[in-house]
Amino acid sequence: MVTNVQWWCSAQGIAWTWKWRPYPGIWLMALGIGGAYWAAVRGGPSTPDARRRRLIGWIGVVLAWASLDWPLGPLASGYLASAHAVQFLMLTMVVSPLILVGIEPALGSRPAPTGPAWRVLRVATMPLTAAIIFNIIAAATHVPAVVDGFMVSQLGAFALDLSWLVAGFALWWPVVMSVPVRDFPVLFKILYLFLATLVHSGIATVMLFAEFPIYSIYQLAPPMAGLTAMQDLQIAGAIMEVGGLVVTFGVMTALFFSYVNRTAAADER
Amino acid sequence: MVALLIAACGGPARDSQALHGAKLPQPIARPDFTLTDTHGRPFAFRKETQGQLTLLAFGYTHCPDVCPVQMANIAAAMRRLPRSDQERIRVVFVTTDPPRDSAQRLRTWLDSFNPAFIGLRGTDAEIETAEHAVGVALATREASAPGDTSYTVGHAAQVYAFTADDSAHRAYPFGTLQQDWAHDLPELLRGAR
Repeated sequence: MVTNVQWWCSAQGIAWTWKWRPYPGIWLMALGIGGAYWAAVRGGPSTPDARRRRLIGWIGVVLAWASLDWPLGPLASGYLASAHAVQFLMLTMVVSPLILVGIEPALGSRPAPTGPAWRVLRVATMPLTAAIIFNIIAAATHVPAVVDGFMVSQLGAFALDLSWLVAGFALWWPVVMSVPVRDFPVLFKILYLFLATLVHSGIATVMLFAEFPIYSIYQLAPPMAGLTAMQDLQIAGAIMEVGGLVVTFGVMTALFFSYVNRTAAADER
Repeated sequence: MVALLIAACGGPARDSQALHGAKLPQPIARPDFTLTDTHGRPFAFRKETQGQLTLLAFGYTHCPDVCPVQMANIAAAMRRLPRSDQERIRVVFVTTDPPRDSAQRLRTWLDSFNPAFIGLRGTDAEIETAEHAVGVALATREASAPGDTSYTVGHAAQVYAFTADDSAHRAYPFGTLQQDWAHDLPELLRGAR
């Protein structure tokens, strides 16, 4: 029987067990993300490419759920900084762009809406604003006092998780989406991605070379996996550094070759 | 923001004399009790550690949280000290769970932190004597049913630091960070109280 049901993953200070625990708040949020995604893609084009993109978006929704729920969610919120890094990477670098890839054809095919919400979105998704949003959230949510202070409460942990999704959507919008501003040139997108993720790399470097474990919550957590707190932090830094590089440079490379291919095709014509 | 993150890693500037351990209202004299070490030899605590910086902890190897965290943080802080300083510190861990903590299990567990850590065990009565001598609450086994071998043990979570004057002036509760130990151990070796 499951007792003491928590609605969201947060640090509890009890020894980790591999016994499954339900987190109803996470299920509701996953349903919410799925519902919002369904609403966004509904009525979009039904070309093979759009269908393939919709499927990619659904994979993003499922990965969002997997990133927040047991076991990664509770491991990240109270036991391992490395799990926290995996969760951050998943939400900001994998889930967000996949969902955006899914909704882009539908949003791009509709007449541009108007209204205050759309105007806010227009400003927020300008590359400079988007980069600032991503970097501020990424840096602020890795400050030790913020992590140690927020992760101990369910509401705080929820706020951090939600902020990472927002940060991810902000970062990837100018790369993936062609609305509400416009589709930026490929070389501009490559430069934007490089510059916008420098702070992310800086955070990872701080973790890799910290003198002491920087997060009390993980240093004082019941130990697991035979890792010291310092090893755990260094693994977290490595995951953020390498994972971030793989994703961003992978996308930058793909963008570059698509640009080269398109240029070559245009030259042939 | 990154600067804030970097600054936070180093922690706030600290007065080199300000120890992080909790000051005891009354110093505790180095207690006199004898238990058995993990090699099966009698270990007279006062006699064996006299005049040395000695960290004394009570706990058990099945402890899911407090004991491994405290031992790991002490070990990590000690590794940062010069070897000569490391050799001037004794870390003594008294098991409060002798039925499950065999000498071999205790030795293996302590070796995972630092092979120089000393593990002591004894009968329940001998361990109670040691707890009385230090003045900590007696450990209690919290089994859910008779014969339950997966019980937890309630025990004192603080680590006492006995200094060269053969008294403990500070105790380090659960929550003491590696940074705190790394700061305090050299100070305690220098005679800070």
